[in-house]
Amino acid sequence: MSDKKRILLLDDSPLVLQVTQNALEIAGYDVVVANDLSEFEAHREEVDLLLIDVQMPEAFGDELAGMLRGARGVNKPIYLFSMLDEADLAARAREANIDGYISKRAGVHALIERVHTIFAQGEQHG
Amino acid sequence: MDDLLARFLPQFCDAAKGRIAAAKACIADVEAGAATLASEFHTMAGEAAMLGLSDFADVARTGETTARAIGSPEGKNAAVICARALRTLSRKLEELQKKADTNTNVAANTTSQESAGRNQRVLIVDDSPISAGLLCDALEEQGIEAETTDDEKFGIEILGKFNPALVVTDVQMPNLDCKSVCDLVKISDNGVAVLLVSGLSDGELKERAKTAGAHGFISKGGGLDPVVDRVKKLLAEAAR
Repeated sequence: MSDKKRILLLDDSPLVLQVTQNALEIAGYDVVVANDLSEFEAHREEVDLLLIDVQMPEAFGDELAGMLRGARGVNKPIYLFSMLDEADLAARAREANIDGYISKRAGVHALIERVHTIFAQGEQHG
Repeated sequence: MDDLLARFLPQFCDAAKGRIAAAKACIADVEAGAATLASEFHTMAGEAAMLGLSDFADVARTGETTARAIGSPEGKNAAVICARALRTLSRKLEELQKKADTNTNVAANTTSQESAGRNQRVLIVDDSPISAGLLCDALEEQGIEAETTDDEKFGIEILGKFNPALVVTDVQMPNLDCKSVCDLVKISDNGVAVLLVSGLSDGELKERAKTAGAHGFISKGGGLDPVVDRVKKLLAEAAR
């Protein structure tokens, strides 16, 4: 099995999925993308990090994240990934009791830096 | 142009064209189409932001905010504002489509002259201007075009402007580590090599190079001549 960390990204935009997958794979990660909830559920357990868009046709990502953390007891890192303003994202992440958020507004390079930090901090905490 | 942007710009333009058309169809009856209007603006903003198209993203976000206010006291002139935002986005999209078409033509007609010029260019990344300057001088004495930058200024933009064949980077810098340098280089252009140069031991450098995905490493301990020789070898390989 590959040593690379695996990331699952849920977003209703196919273009966002492709761009993000491309950039994260170049940065050294394995990336699985999901355009809807059934694809997301099919891969959810195989990965090390979940990145979830917020405003999607089927569900709000923060509600999904809160359900995963709460009712399903998922304890791997979960982050919201959205264009919403940061105050809103911070509040939603807190409400959902998840690890945090990453703003799309800073672009894909900032996302990569943030993902590096998330995994580095995870390794530090063991 | 940033490689990621160049790669995905045609798709972005196609997607945005469809979304703008869908949004325009909602302007005739904004009350009924408010949710769709907001959704299309929102998605366009996200897609543009991911590709670094911040002007486009900003206009799309304004459109989204306005669309979401439809039906409330703040949404009084929403139809007018949204229509204006869509016209602005259409204009910006025309410019982006031209860039996408130009990139396609340039990629199809890549000249050996551009490749040859790039093959002798080295970008040095170091937080010490003295170290960077010494290496830059040594390379230029050998007829190799070199430019220096520090860990604060290094990024996709400078890579795009200078278009080097090789990036020579320090390993331990306050604002940027060598893995980030390698990641940014790969995102910018997968064909550019990265050489780590540092005072660390060979063992540590080897490990850093492996983790970062660099093409090679060399210790500063032997002086500038071995570094220059190594640069020449990597440039020769890049030229093949």
